[in-house]
Amino acid sequence: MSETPSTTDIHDIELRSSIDRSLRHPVMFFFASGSIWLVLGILLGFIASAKKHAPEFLDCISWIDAGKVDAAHLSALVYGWGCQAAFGMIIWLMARLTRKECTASGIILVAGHLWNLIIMVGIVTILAGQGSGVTLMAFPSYIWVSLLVVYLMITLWSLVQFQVRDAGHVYVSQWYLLAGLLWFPWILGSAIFFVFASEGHPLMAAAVAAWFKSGVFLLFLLPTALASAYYLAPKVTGRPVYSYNVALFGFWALAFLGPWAGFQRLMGAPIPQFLPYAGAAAMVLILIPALAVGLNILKTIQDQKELAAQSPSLRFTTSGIVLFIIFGVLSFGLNTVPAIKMTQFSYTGYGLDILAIYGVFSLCAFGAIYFIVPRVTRREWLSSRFITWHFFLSLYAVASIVCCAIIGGIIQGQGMEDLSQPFGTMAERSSSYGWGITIAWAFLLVANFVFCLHLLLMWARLGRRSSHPTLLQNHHPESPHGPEGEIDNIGSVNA
Amino acid sequence: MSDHSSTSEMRPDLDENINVAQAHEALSGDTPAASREKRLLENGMEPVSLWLIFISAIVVLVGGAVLGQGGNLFGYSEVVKAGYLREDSPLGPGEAVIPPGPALELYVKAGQKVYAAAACAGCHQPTGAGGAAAPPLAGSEWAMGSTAALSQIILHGVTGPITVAGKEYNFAGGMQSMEQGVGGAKNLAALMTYVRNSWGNQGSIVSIEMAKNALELAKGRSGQTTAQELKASYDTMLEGAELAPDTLVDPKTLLPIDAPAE
Repeated sequence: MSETPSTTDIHDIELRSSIDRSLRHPVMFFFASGSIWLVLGILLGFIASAKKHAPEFLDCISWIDAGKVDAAHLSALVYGWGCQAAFGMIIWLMARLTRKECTASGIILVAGHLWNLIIMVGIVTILAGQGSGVTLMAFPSYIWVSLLVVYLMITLWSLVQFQVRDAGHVYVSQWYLLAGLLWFPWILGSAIFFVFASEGHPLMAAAVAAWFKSGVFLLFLLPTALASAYYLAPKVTGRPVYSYNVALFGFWALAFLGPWAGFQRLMGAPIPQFLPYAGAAAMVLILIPALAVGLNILKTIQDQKELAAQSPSLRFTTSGIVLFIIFGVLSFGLNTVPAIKMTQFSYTGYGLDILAIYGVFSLCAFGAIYFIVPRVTRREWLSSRFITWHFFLSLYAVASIVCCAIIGGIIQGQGMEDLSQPFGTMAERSSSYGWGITIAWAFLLVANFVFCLHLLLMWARLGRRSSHPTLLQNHHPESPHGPEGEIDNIGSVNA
Repeated sequence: MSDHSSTSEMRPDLDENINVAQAHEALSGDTPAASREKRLLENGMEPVSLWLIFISAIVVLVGGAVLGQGGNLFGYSEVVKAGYLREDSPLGPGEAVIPPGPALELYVKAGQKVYAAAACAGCHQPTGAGGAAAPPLAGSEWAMGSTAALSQIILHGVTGPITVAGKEYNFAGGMQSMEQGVGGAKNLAALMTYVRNSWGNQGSIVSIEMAKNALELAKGRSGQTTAQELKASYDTMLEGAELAPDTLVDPKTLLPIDAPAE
């Protein structure tokens, strides 16, 4: 980047800041309320996990029974945090990429409040014992239609922005954004119909719910995370995406495979057999888009390792992408037929869910938040130490959860296959892994409490007023040009 | 923020295209993050590398193998896949297996069925409280005491006056032999364990080995016993190894299984 800004650069900066300004309220609202739901979801996850190996934990409070708290945990994590973080990312990325200011931020903000209200009602209903009992669709049936309507109120404007974009190149991130935007109402609408509205066989309703659960990640959260990664990696490094062809290949692989996955959860159940087997095959093949995306993003930042370590957004995004490759490898190994038989009813599936929701999606979302928030609030992050804690606690805790769940799940599966032993022996053997998961949730709670606090301070516009980004490894703690806030190194720093 | 409007109107260099004051402000104070951003460049045009195609081919092969294991994928008439159930079941392929459990629980469960089937509940009541035709079993020293006496009461019946829980009973005709109704050592063991461990009673488990000894003991004697005879000849515990309450036993045979392999 040249040191003296040209006319187009000035116009660019003005356009960027006007887009950021137009979206600051809804974006900050989604991120901030999402982070509160994240803390809540993790707290519920800690309780739910503890109850799996220590059933007497908090057993005097009936509204956090094991079954309820588990459903509330996943719902808060996915709909409270996941969807809201995704909304913030989608509306900001789409506005930036179509170079259009958002004209409907008021409606989006109102819809955002509605979304939070509905999720709150839903969680309270689950805890009151009135939930539907369907995995990840545990809110009662009347909640779902209103969620779909509010979803359309939030995202319609991004579709409009894409429709009226200036003619020209459609960027990789936009493919993923558009795909996620259109897939989510499709899977949610189908799931509402088959699970709650249609008079079909209840077993097929369970199968459709399993398909929806897999679709929420593969067809909505994952595309949003990948859109953000494809945006941030070239943006922060200033290099083009390594290969357009690989990006195309990875996108269409995901688009082709994602909708098939999910039914493998009902392997062995009396439903038409092509469903679970096609689901298992699709989950095995997810390794292909994971490798393609991983290769593309990692090659893009290959020569910029120092930058990836310094910039919070790039560091989180890179970790999310590496975890996506690991997700692909685990999905490849754990969805072969013998492995499914072994691990179908164990911790293993939970481990993969958490790897997907927290490891892949959330780390990419944190990367996006660390990038977007300074732009929309016009303040810099307060503390690089907070960000470092958030990063390392998140990474190690999610790694512990996934390792414990997968190893413990395999041991559990072996125990269940051993017919000469009662159920209790199997539960005893895997309970130490349950302890590991619970402790890891506690660390994750600390990490995200710090993150939530940091984000809320930024929301209150208490961030640093400075032209220096908050970097994680600052080799020059004191600038040679005096205190921070001077325009000494415009263009030579990145965030 | 406050001086934003004033600087944007100030154009110190009218001949220039760029309003330097405004540009300077944009770069320095108000939108620092947006200003230091780099532009998105067009995508690189590297070809899809060979090793990615190669690995994808292997993954597709494995995926195909998974799909292939589905067998008759679209045969809707047969939806439960043959061979999906466990093949190493001791009862043969496809048979469901009930896993073993603790001895006391399974003995009591089996004994409850015998108690109902052998018509014990008719006189002694399902609650073991006794009634118009029989003394109570709940809290009875005969039930919780020596197992030999208990077994002989069941196998031969009892007549004449009998003191149970501090109260004397004497029913016309007394209790008849229940040997036929109970049927076999396993049922006898379960029944005695049930009587000794229900309705607040607490006693040791009567194992199948002990029940076999009880049947041996009953041979060569006919007619109902009396309380005096029971006190005189049978006030002992049946012979046989003790069975601890949490020993894992097979739910069908009630025999102990091997200790869990750690």
